[in-house]
Amino acid sequence: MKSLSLKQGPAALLLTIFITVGASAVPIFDANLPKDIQTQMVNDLQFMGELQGERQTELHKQIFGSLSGASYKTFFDTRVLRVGLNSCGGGNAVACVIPFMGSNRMFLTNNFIKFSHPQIARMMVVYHEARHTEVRQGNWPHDTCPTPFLDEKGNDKKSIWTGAMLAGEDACDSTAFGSYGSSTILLKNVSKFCTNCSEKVKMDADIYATDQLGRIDRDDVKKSMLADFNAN
Amino acid sequence: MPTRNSSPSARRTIFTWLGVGLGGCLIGGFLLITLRPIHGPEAKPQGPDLSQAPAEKASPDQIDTSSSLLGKLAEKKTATELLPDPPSQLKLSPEDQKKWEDLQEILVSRNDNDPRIDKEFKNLSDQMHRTLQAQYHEFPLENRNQRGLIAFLIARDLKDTDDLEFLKKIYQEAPCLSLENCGSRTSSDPHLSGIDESSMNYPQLVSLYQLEAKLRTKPELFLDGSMKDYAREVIEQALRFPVSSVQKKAAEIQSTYQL
Repeated sequence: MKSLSLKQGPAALLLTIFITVGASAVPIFDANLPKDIQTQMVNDLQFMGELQGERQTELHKQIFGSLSGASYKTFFDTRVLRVGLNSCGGGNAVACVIPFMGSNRMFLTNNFIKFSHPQIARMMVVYHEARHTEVRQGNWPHDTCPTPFLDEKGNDKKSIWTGAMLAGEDACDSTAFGSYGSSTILLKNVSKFCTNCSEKVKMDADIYATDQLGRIDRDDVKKSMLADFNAN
Repeated sequence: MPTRNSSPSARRTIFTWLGVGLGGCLIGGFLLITLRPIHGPEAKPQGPDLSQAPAEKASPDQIDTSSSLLGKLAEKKTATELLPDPPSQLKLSPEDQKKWEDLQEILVSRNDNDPRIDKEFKNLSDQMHRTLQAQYHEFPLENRNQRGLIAFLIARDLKDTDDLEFLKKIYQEAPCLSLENCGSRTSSDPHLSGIDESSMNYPQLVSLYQLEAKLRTKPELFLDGSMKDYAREVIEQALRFPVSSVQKKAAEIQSTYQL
């Protein structure tokens, strides 16, 4: 093995220190991210990091591993190294990933604390966006919702107040492993198997999982996910 | 800048770097314009007909992020100095007063997994029920999670027709049109619009979830004719709430429990 030269040694030492410090301070917050948003994010990630479960479904095992805070922490920490502030295109956005601004970087908006979402819903958005950082999977791009895109009653799925149709929008997944699918699987497992969640958290997880499942636009994928949830 | 006295190779080098810099600016500008966050475009607002919506007007108040309360907590003031008085005129017992204070801490902390939610807020006194009902209406409409937590606690601890009457009124509220301001629509990013819509209708969804849980786990509570009648009225009101996810849940409960 080649030994380091006198010039390379200090650089290697500095790099080692940088990586070590960086790894222990995951994620790193940009200076422009307001302190109250940082605090909320730290508290919410701690909440996720402390979850415990008695078991998990097969799909959950494939994506996250066991239902445990350690698994959720690893999932997040290995994907998101830096968190900053961005409008994320404006509107009601809470968080986003902008690949050309950094593949391991997530952005939060002021809505993260301004909007009154339940805690598990906030984290669902964060974990949904964390999935989008996976460059090797092409950032798990969304599928274009089919036209027509109908609910169980045969009505067009659309935004309840703006009337904007989902059909034709990049707001669906055709796989269980994308951002909608993976966050649905996370929530459903928390709802069913979390052993240290409050009844509110478990109920909330089910409410939001039901919503996210509606974005899976392939019936066979949806059926396999339902079978996975009901297997235990 | 190159001058007449610069060597040809120096001039070439300078012009080459100028060209690279200009090209980089053009490419960067193109990327900034064409690439957007993985979040989807905003939809143009279009309104559905709300003519059938109930009459109660939404408040234009902005959500209270409780940042000022958080700040005061950071100054280490005692909880009792910070907390608002219970909204109802009923005097709380010392035990209920403690629960009230704990609830305010939970609301400020935004920690939905606080173990006290399950340990302390079951088998509540009538006074506590009335106090919670009053507090629900104290929250700005945009405080969906806070309102939902109160509705959750009351519905989970359902005792009498008074509680059911409270739940019925939740479905008589004007639906919240956006998380920013319940009184007005905003454009909706389809990417995560489902989450927004669940949160906008959170108190309504939560109440149904807990009513269903009560019907499933404590059916004896509804053997009383008046309780069943009131539960039926809650469901019928929920079926009239102009949001399909709420209607769907209400229909499931109606069908399953023959209401």
